[in-house]
Amino acid sequence: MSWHDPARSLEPQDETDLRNELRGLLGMRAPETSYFEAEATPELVQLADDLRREARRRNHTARRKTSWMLLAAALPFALALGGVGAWGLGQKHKADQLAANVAHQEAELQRLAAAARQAPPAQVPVPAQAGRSQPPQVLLLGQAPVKSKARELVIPVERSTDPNPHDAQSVKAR
Amino acid sequence: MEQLNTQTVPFGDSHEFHDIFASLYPRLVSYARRYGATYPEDIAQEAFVILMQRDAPVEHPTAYLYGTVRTLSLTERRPLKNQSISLEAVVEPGKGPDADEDLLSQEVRDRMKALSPTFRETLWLFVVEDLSIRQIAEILDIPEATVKTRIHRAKAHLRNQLNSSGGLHVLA
Repeated sequence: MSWHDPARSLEPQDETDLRNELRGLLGMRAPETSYFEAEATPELVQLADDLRREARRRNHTARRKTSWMLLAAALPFALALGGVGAWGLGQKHKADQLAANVAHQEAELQRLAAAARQAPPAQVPVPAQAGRSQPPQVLLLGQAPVKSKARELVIPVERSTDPNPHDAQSVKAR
Repeated sequence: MEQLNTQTVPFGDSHEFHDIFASLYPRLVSYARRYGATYPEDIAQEAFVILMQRDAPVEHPTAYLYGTVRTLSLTERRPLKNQSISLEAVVEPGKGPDADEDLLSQEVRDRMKALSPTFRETLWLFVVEDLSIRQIAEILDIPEATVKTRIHRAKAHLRNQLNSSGGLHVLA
């Protein structure tokens, strides 16, 4: 960095004139020495060197401190991000496994359906459990077509061919 | 004493730095004192350290130093608001106790005091500190046009002062 100041050296003439005019209005004398001309006493030189050393020392420590502080501040975020990422990966792995299982089952079902379509009906294996769950044929004969009574148990009555059964009484005979 | 390596230290040549430091340091101390700083020397030194700590170069180092001194002085004054301190002890910005006595005559100080603090501050930087309008704009963090306006208003005010006291005829 240089001490050369373009704003001061390239000052327009009207600014200089304005400054001189204001000095006159204030009753000031014109400066006898230039702005940057001053005697550097040993005390000032010593102070300048001390300040420069202090700036350099602060530069080193401040930079190190800043980087450490940034690292410390970023650590919790990094850990949280890593945790969320690991959990997400686990979830994705589980979802992939489930999807593979579902696809496998679907393929198996399709294969079975295709085999059933190709095979003759007699040879279609009927699961034993399905046969067992069907109600007896006799019980279903008197079943009414009404849906609400679909599950009612109907006991079949054997109708007698005799027009006058033994246990029957005629109303008129009474 | 540790010898400084001129190749690595900021601001290049040590000799140049010493000369500029010798020139600017007393002015910065005086400037901090004008803001009523309790420790104006410390503030001026801190401003130099802050400038030399920077990695990026500063376009106007002088203006940067003045601006830093101004900010530090005002910051130093700020905690006084919450303390039980006598109002007489708190000085107005630009009115530091006896800050101008060794620099200006009584007549100039009286004319300066007649201006408002805003105009006085700008006029001080322009006339006494010998800074350019561009530098003043950077120090006060205002547009250059505002600095020019303030200077011209201060000039008009000074003219009015002299007209009312008959001083302008004497100058003419």
